[in-house]
Amino acid sequence: MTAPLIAAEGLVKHFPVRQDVFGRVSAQVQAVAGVSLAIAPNEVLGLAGESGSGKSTIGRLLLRLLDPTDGRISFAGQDVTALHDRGLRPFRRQAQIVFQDPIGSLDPTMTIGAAIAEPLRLQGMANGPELRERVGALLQAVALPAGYYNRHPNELSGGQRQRVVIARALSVDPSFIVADEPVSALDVSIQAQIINLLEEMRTRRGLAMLLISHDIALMEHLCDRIAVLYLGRVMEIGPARDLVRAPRHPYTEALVSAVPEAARAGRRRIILRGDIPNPANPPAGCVFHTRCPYAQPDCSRIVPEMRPVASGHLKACLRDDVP
Amino acid sequence: MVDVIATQHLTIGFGATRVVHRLSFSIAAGEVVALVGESGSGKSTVALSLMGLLGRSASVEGSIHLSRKNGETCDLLTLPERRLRAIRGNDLAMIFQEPMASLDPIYRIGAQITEALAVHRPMPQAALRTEALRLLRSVAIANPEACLSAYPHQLSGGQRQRVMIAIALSCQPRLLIADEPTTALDATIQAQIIDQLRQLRAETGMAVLFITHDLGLVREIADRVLVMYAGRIVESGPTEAVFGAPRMPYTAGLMRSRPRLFAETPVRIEPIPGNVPNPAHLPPGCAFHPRCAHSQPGRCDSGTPEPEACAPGHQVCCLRWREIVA
Repeated sequence: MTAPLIAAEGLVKHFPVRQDVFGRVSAQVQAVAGVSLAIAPNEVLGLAGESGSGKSTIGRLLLRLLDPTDGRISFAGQDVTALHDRGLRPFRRQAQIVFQDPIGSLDPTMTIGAAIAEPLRLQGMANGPELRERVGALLQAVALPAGYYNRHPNELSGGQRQRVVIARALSVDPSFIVADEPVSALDVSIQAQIINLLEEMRTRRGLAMLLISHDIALMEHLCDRIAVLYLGRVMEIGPARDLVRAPRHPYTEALVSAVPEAARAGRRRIILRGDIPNPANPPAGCVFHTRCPYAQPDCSRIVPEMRPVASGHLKACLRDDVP
Repeated sequence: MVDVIATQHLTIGFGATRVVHRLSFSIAAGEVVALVGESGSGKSTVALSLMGLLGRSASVEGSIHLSRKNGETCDLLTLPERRLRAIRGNDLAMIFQEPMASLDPIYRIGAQITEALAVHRPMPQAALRTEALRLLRSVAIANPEACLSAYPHQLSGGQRQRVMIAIALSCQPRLLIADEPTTALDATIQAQIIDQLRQLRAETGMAVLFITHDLGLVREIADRVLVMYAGRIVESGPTEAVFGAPRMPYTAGLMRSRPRLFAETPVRIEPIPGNVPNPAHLPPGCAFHPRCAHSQPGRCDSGTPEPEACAPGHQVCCLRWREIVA
C-alpha cells in the first residue's frame, strides 16, 4: 500500500454524559473505543454503521474538529494530534468537510459567492479580482450558474445548496475531504447528481475521501474500502465489493442483508434481536455478542482482536466458521 | 376483492396553490399499496386527507369512500367532524415517520395505548391492561410489563415505533396508513419493523398504504405501487410490472439514479437533471417535461397527459409512452 495520506492509531473519544453540580464527570460514553484507520491519497474509505456507532465522531476527530481522548492522528507523515489554533492552519487547508444538512452549513445572511470565498480569504490564498475569479471557477466546477454568486442560500434548492457546500470545501484545494452523509437529506433524483459530482471531484482532483453513510449500496458504489463500525469499534474493514458481497463479520452480514435489495438478490434476511446497546454501558467481550446470531459463551468474555481474513481484509470476530 | 378505500378525483389545495390534482386510486382489503414520490410531490398531503387531518386552510374536492368495519360505506369528505372521530383510530389508523413526535412525552406508554381502546372499544380497566399487554407482545416488545409503565423517552426509536404500531392496530383498523415509518430508524431496526408489519398484515388482513421514497423498500413489501410527481399519479400498477418495465420516464429515471447493490460492474448512475418543481409554479403540460429526456416541444409542454392503461392494471401518464422506451 502507498504511504497513507491520513492515518489514525488507537483513536479514543469519551464524552461526558452526566456531571455533578461541581462539573465533575460521573458518567461518560465511549463514542470511539480504539479505532485505527489509514486512507491513501485518492482513496475513498467508507464508514458504515448505525446511529451511535461513532462514525461522525471519527470524521470530526480526523479533521481535528474534536480533540481525541487518546490516540494519534498523522497527516502526510506529520503528527497533527497535538497541533492547535495557528499550528492547525496548514492542515485545515488540506482537510475539509461536507455535512449532511446543507441548510445548517450555510449562513443565511451570506451570499453564495461570499460563502465560497470565505475559506480562500481566511487562508490568505486570494483576494480582489482573483478571488472573484476563483469563486466563479468553483461555481462552474459544481455546475452552478455564474449568476448564483450574489444569491442567498434560501433562493436555492437542497441539491444546489449541497453543491455550494462542496464548492466551499474544494475552494482551498484540499487533498482530503470528510463527507458526512452528503446526500441523505436530498431527494432521490437529486442524490445522483451529488454522488456523480463527488466522484468527478475525486477523479479530477485526486482527492482522498472519508465517506460516512448508512447507505450500503451507495458505499459499494463510491468507496474503495469500507470499515464497518459498531459501538465505536471497527468490526470489519476490507475492499468495498468483497465486504458487501461476502461479509466476513456477522454484523456486516446482517447490515447488508437489511438492505431491501439484498433480499431480492436471494440473500437470507437476518433479523437481529433487540436494540443497539447503550454506548455508555457497552457489553463485555465482543460488543456485538448480545445481538449476534452466532454468539458462543466465549464471545461475552473475550474481546476479539482485528485479524486478517484475506489480503487487506480484516475482522474482529472470534469465530472462523461464520458467517 | 372489496375496496377498503377509494378516492375519486381527489384535489387538494392550500390557498391558490393546488398540491394534489385529481387523484383516483383504491386499495383492496389485505393489499399493501406504496405511494412513492419525492418531497413536495404531495404524498403526505394525500395521507393526511384520508385521515381528515389537513386542517381548515386546505380545500379538498372529490371523494374518499371508505368501507367501514360495520359494513357501511361513507364519503369521508362529507362527514361531520363528530362522525370522523368515530372512524379515525378505529377504521383508519396512521403511523408517522418520527415516533417521538407522535407520542406524548408526559404520559406513560400504558396510558397512551389504552386511550384509543377506551374510546373505540370500551371495556373494564383490567381488560384494558390485558389488551395493551397483548398488543405490545404482538409487535414483539421484549418486556411488555416494563414498557407499559415507561415514558416515551425511556424507549429506543425502534421500540417507540413498535408502540406506535401497537396503538394504530389496537382497534383493528381496516386501513393502516404508514408515512415513512422506518425512515428515521437504523437499518437493522428497519428490517425488524418491516418484518413486523408484514406479519401483522398477514394475520389481520388489513390494507396498508405505505408512503415512502425508498424504491428498494417498495419492491420488498408492496403489491401495487403509485408513483407521484408534482401532485399527480404518473404511473401505477403491480410492483413488479412497474419496476420491471417502467413506462413513465420519471419512474425509470428514479430507478437509474440509485446505485444498485451487488452491481456486476460499476455502473455510472444517471441523475435526473434539474429540480423537483415548486407546486405554486408548475410547468405547463406534463409537469415532468423540463427534466425529461424524451420531452417533445409543442407536445409535452402543452397537453396534460391523462392516465392510460399500458398493460392490465398498469397505468401511465405520458403522452409519448407508446413511442419511447422509458
